[in-house]
Amino acid sequence: MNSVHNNGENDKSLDEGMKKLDQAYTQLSDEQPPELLDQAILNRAHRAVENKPHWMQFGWLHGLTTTAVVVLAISLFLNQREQLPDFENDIQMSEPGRLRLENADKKQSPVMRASEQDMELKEERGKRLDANQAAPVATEPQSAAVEITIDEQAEEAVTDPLNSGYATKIPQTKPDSIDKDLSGNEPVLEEQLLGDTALADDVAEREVISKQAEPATVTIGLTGEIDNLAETDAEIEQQLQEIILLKQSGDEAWKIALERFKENHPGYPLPKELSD
Amino acid sequence: MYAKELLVNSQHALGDLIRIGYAAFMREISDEKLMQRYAKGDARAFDQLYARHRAPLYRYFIRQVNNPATANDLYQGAWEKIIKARHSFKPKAPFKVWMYRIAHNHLVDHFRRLRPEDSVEPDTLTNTGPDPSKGAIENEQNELLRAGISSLPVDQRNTLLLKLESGLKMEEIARVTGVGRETVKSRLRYAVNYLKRSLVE
Repeated sequence: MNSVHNNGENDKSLDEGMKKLDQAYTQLSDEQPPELLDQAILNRAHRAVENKPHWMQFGWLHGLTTTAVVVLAISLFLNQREQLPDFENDIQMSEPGRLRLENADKKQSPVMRASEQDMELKEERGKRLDANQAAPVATEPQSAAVEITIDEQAEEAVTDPLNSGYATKIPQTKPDSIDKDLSGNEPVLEEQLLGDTALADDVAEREVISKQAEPATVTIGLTGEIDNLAETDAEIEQQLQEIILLKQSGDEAWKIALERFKENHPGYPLPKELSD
Repeated sequence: MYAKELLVNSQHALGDLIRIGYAAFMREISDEKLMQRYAKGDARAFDQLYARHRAPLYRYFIRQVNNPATANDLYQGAWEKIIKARHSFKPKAPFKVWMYRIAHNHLVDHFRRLRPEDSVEPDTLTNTGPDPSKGAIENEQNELLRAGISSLPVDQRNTLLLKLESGLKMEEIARVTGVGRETVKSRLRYAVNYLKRSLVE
């Protein structure tokens, strides 16, 4: 109680003393800062506000830029995350699959392959036309051999001209016969020889061709769709040429081949030789 | 000609009216809002704020060091710190407390920089009093009070001047000086008793 009482008395005396002191203090001379100092401080204060940093004047641009950078970073991050599983799959791919991919890479593009085949076919067609013009007599005896090949291979040619090997089959048989004609052998002898051996040769030849064609189908397996698209105009024209040749050789099979061609390529313009 | 002069005069009158109206508007605004306005770029808010606190703050410094040149330096330095720290001001705290805290810290830094032999001595402070020509006009009691304040220990003088010049409460002085309320009260009591004795003697 005494301490509280003393504290209260002390506070009272302090308050009274402060009041008296305050009255006396107000009578002291009122010192003021120099005017020059006032002006210097006010100028400093005004400059500080007026000279805003450049980035603060375009605060909205700063915010916009920050937002754009953040959005870009997030989108890049998400994009990377989406691509990551594919990459892992590539790594975990089985050995055969990887080899197949490597083979596919090593192989030429379908367009390049088609153009090369086109060139080869043109050369062969040229040879065949020359042979037809040079030895019209030889067409008769060959009709049997040609008939065999066309009956079976025309279907393959129409359905799958690239893989059938039909395109390369005819030129391989004809030049031989032409060479024989040119070398002076009688065509009849060849027909007789062909009667037994031609069939065997033909079968062997087809096996060889199918074996040659097999790797192509295996390696192209991954790009099968592209191969189907590779049936270019040149190949279709080549098929038409084959039919024309058949027609010129007097073989009635050309009609069947033409009908199949029309079924597979409806609306394709036919040359004059076939449109009659 | 008359119409032109009339137009110019009316423009001046309108400008004066706007200035007077704005000044009146500023006078009504609290220190805290003025500081906020200044922090947002309103330089005229600082003018008003400066006009309110220039004299007390200057007296706070000059009666601490009793040397006009040093007081000018300290005064300018303190205002520069206030200008720089304008964005850190929080309107929840009273502006006076914030401002005097900056001033007090600036003064403490100044005393720390002084070497022991340069430290403020009561005798020297008493000797470096006001202009003798002015002293003739001032009464003897004022002179004694000035000398008594100058001869107080630094902490007591600082606390007393904060009380007399800023009119801060004891709790606010405690926040400015970084000590407890009881310490502030004790320092004030010692200072008042000392000045009473010196004035009576």
